[in-house]
Amino acid sequence: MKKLPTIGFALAGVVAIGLTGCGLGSGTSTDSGSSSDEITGEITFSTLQLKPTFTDYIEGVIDDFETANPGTAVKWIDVPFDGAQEKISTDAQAGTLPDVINLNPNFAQPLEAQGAFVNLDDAMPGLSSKFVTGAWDAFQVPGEDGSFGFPWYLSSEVTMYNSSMFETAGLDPNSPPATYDELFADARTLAGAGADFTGMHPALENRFITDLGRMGVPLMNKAGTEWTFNTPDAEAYVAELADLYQSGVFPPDSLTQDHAKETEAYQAGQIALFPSGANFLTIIEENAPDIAKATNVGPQITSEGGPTNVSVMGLLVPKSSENKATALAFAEYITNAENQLAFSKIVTIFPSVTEALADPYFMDDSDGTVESKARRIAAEQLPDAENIVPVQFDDRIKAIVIGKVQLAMKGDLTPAEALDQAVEEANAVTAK
Amino acid sequence: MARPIQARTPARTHRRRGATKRKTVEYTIRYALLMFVFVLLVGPFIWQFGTSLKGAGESIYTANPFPASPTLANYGMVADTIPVFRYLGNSLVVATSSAILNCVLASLAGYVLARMRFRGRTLVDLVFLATIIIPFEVIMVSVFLTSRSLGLVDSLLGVILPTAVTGLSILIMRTAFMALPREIEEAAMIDGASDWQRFIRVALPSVQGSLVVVAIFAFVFAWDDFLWPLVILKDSANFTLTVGIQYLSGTFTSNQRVVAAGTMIAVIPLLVLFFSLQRWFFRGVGEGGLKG
Amino acid sequence: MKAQYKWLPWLFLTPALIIALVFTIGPFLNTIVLSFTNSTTLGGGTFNGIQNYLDLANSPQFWISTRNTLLYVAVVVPLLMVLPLLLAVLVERNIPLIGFFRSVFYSPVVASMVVVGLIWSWLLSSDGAVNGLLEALHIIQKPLPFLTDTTLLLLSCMLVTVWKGLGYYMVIYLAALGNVPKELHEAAQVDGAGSGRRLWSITLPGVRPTMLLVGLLGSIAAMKVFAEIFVISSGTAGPGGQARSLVYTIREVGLGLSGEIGYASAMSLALFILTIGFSILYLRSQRTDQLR
Repeated sequence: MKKLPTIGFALAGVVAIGLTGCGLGSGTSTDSGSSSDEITGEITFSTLQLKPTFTDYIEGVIDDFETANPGTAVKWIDVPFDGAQEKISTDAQAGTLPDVINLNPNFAQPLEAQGAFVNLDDAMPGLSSKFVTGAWDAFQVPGEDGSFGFPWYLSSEVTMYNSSMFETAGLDPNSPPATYDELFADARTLAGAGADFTGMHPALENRFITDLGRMGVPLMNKAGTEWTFNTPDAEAYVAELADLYQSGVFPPDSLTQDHAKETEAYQAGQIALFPSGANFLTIIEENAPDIAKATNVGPQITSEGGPTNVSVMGLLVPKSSENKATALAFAEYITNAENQLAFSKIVTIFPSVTEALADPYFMDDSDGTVESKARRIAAEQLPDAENIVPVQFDDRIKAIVIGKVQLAMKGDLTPAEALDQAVEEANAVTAK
Repeated sequence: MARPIQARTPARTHRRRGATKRKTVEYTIRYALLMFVFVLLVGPFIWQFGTSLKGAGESIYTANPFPASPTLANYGMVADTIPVFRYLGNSLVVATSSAILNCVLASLAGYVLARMRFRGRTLVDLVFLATIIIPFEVIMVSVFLTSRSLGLVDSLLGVILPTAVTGLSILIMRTAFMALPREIEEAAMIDGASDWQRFIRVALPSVQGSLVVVAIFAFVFAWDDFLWPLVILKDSANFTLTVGIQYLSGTFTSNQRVVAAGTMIAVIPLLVLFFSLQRWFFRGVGEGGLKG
Repeated sequence: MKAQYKWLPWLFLTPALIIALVFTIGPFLNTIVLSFTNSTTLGGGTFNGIQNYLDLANSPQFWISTRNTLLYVAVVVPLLMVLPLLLAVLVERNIPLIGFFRSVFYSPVVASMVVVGLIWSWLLSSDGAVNGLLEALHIIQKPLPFLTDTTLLLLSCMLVTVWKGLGYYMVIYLAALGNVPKELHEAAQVDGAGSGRRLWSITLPGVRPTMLLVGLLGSIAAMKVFAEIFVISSGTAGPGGQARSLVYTIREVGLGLSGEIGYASAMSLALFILTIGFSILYLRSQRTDQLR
């Protein structure tokens, strides 16, 4: 007797889910119509893990914006990095994306390709000239017109190294490596010093594809549909990685470890070289004060004539937003020169607005600290930097590519086999 | 294994000295074994606790987990960084509701499945089993859309309901009821007790131990759950503790001592709960059922 | 007790059934539908017949995942059925401090997976404690690559699963041990049965239904293994991703913003069918128990 209604209810539920679950359409198709051009009303603004460091800053900017634009209210949500993709994708499916959403180019790309975001080239002509070129270009979809994100903060890799380990190994503690050849030569010397540390950590998932890009290996075709990194240069690089691993320049367990483990290994004094974002200086200071004292910085590792890399965060406004005018105004406000400059003064990150990046603050390292030196080095390399990693390099492609490189480093595949297989399998996924 | 000596029969009292000696040996072996397992299992807990007490000047990436000069400052930092009491409160509401709902709903369902014969029982068995097997990640988007159509987004109720009864709880209760000697209930039936009375007065008190297990499992599961609360909750005021402690390390800071302190705050209530409930495991058939 | 019920069971079952149907079974039926489409996380959803299943059959990753998953079950489940029982017997008796030990033994269950992964990857690293111990005992000459060899990595993950599951299943056994009548033990002791013999002939038969339950739960948990592999291999599933499990692969292809929901759904269905095999075995054996 009780059975029928229960099952009926469940079936009704299934049908309803089936209908809504099968498409994004229901959520995003209600894009225009109700939105007015007036800057007023409430919007939601989501960021990627900016609490707790920037809580005061973000709340301050929101207050200022609300004061300058009476009648507006900004509701701030901060999403932790763990689980962010799941949260964003459920929101996208349900059509409940925030009005202004903070994404990196990789997270943004699948949504951009679906046409989920307002095209800023149309909505705010002339905006692009304010930003660093490499950052602006990061929010374009290969093969399509339009730019979808306000570039926000940037970070740029520098080469951190343990100067006392350099001394132990008989290297000059004041001349860090600048090219890949120097990097690997130094790493070999360091590992051969007979001390209880090795040269460096490969952190493949974080660096492999960027390294290829910096070496001038073409990663994808122009249309962004096919991977092309199985070149002789790339082969030579994989062969080098294999040699470094097998000869113990990388720690034995590093084959399957990621950037977090690299950070840990550097902080534990197990490796001497640590090429990574300048912001990691703060983290080293917090967790391993002794290592921080010995740490010095040099510029990002590059190869002759190759580009430098910049990591970009951006703000995007979904077409589904019911208050696009306010959302765009807020995104423009928070990314303006003044607000970005204030943001960059809290930790070692960088503004994407040219005007702010030109501020003397970034060039002044007269206080002699490693942080200000890192800041100057990074700021100098930013104007010409590119976002090297293609937006299509998502977690799945990454897993495929890194997996093959690991096998090559272990000696199970030759570098050529590994790269050919990686390209083939990655193309199969990208084609879907 | 040592020989447990529980019931000394009168005939054996003249061997008391020998028994006492054996008792000492038995206790020694027992505690040695306990200490051995203790060392095997306690590592992460000690390390985390040690890290949470380390001061700012101490490196945490060393083999020594013990702080040179212990400090509670990291716990203070947790409280300064996130509204930890609010999140504790939310977690408590969610986990307690889930535990109570699981106990009630699972004992009802488990009793039926263990004791009553009716058409469709196998199907129901399979439905509940299926709920244990299906990986949540696979159905999460659908569950989110369902919850949204029920208006549960951004509410603690939305966190609680999907875990209000799990197949696991039902299985545990079903197994417990099946293990009950039927004679107890049959005696009650002769006394003319109704089905409901038999369930409430006879069967339920006899499976207290399993009820406690269900309560602990449901509580711990709801307390530790991360992905679902993150997805369904929007307003940071509604966050549960597992979601909230994510905010202890940002993209640009990662003070592992504070993170460790946050994790300890999340784990200690669970161990306290477990400690205070564990002695109830044994109020099963032996003490509750037969006497009552 | 043998009476056929009509409506009473449904009255007891309704609340649990509603929760299960709305939040798990419904979404799962939806998953079945999706497995015949090319849905992605962000849309799509055109019917494409059995294409996903054909893709599965041709995917080496799927077969590696399935092989590893079954291997995992084969190794882990017997250990999980036996070791927690021994642990439960060890902490069963109320001796001084036993509550403390029980709680500590439960602590790995509630410890955060991140911390567990951190500690175990230290212990298992090439210069870690496990290799150090084995070298000191002259069992090995040079460090074993626990983290970079696919087979050893899988074994390491199994070790962590068993380690983390000890306390969990110990709790289930503890509740069941309370149901074994003490009189039986006492009588056997008078007859001069040693503790090993009593474990074999009294405790084991007494907890038989629970052992089956633990076997089932252990199988399901092992079939769904993900977190251990993820944290021990720092998210790579070993060199070339060859230590992947089914749920690992399901998450890899199905979650995230470019997830292929249709394909992942097909894989989940394969997992479901594999797991349901164990469940039917379990239900069968229980039914035989009931008939005795």
